[in-house]
Amino acid sequence: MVAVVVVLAGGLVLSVAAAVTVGPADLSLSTVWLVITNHLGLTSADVPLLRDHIVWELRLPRVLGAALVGAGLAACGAVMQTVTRNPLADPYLLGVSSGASLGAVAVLVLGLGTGTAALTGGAFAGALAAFAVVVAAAGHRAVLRPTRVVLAGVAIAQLCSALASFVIIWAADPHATHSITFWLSGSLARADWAALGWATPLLAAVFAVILWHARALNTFAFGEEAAAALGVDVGRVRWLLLVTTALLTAVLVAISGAIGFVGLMLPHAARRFTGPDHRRLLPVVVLAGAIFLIWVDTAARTLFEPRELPVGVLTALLGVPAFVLLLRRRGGNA
Amino acid sequence: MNQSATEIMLALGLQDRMAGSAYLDDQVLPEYAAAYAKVPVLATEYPSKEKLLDIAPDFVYASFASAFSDEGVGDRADWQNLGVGTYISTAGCPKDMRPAKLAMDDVFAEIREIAAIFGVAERAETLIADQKQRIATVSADVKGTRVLWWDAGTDAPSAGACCGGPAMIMSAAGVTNIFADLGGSWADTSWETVVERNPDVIVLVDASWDRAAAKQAFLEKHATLKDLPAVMDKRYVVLDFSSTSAGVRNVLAVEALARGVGGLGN
Repeated sequence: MVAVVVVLAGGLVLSVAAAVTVGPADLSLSTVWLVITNHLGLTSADVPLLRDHIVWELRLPRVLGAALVGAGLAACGAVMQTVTRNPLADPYLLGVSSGASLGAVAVLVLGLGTGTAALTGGAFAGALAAFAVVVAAAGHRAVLRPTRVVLAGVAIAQLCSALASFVIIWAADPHATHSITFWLSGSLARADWAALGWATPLLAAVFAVILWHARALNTFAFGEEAAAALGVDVGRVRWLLLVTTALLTAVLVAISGAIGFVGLMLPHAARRFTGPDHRRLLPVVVLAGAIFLIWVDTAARTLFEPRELPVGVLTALLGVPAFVLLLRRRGGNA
Repeated sequence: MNQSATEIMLALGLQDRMAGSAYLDDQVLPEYAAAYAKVPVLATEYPSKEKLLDIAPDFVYASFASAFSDEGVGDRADWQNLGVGTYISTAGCPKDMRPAKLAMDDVFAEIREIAAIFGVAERAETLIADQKQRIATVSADVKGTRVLWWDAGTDAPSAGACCGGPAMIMSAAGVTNIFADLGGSWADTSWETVVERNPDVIVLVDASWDRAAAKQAFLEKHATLKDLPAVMDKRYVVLDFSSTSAGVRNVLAVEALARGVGGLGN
């Protein structure tokens, strides 16, 4: 088990190292590495400013952002599936992504502020607002029952997407809808050092909380009564995990838009290798999520260069066939 | 319907034959304002089918195919069945009926066809001769200047590609499009490619939904793009979106682009 995690961690480092060398701009391997060692203070070679920027301001933050978002979505998805005992659960189940979309659409279309900061802020505010409404709608004396949370999440998601459509059709110019579609399909082009700076500690904190509750998560698989009998404070743990993962998802959506598939499918794929024990599953799914999204985003950047695709389109296009293959090859045991 | 179609009609002096207009992106050009004032405005966007039936037109002319979608006034075939003729600008036609690479001559052909339909062919020739004359005088010493045509989008910039209105204007002005290798009218690309191709001048398209000033602010704040030579020297040309869709305004865009690039001293 430790070996698997070590291999995956090595794979993640290699993936980052390899992905920064790939891109539409034709930079040699040595240039890319000189830039990085320059910034780490190891070398002080002369690299033209724009090439330096391509590597250090465009590619590296984006690759690290892909790793972060992939890791976060995979972890949130795994937790969400266990807590709600619903194999179809994903990080967006609680209305977070639709809320974020509504927030982003409001910024893009109604012109509430301009620039990327406003977009990120709008998406984050929308995500939090939607989640708050879901909790308020589903909560009963501070207890969140899984079925009610899921139903409330679906209902609020429908409401938010209806409102977003309304805003687009009512206020947007047809030409403006293009940029909205691009945003809604998910893109890591906005990942920069600032975003990484505040998202990384949050991811680490949430991941620590989740890992701390790995045993409790295992007991959830047997149902609430069993979990309670094993000494788990079901209500408190569920509340804590739902809120922290929703917060993290809100941050991720604000950075990258709603990237589908990763949070839904990767936990299932990882479970096929690790079994249901969350102490094994969580580290694996986080690393796998990071590696997966790095490579899918690299494909989105370069497959049709100099065109660029929204990464959310590719996660499903590449991920679903891989997942179907996995389902068929290892069929029968889940 | 739409800006370009409305202005082509006005440029041909056909305002008395217009039962109504709809969905303008911008004010009509000042020289047509007086004529336009006499034309009833049916809707700020597309009118409903019922509204259009109500004024019983003989002929419906639009710049974009979307005019004859569910969002607009409905299928063209339905109108033809009612005995109402329809016309969509060459540039707005579905892909298989559109010229592979839009040129000013396609715009002139549209003006001629509309003029022929309304029996004012000689006015079309005067108008076209005047436009050709204006283009001929502007394309001067801007050859070889490499231009990024930035239409919209900050995550993945949507740039003027090989074959649409932007490309037509750039080629008429005599400048080089850095994304002439991309298919279509506009295409999503990446900032990394923009940096690598390092344009001499950036065209900032000014539209009500995406202002040129906001684009400029984005460029100058962006960690990478602020160091692009064109951004550092503020080599921008601002063009109105309405002057970039095929119509009588293209000449204005050609003139503004050539003058802008020339004025930057390249």
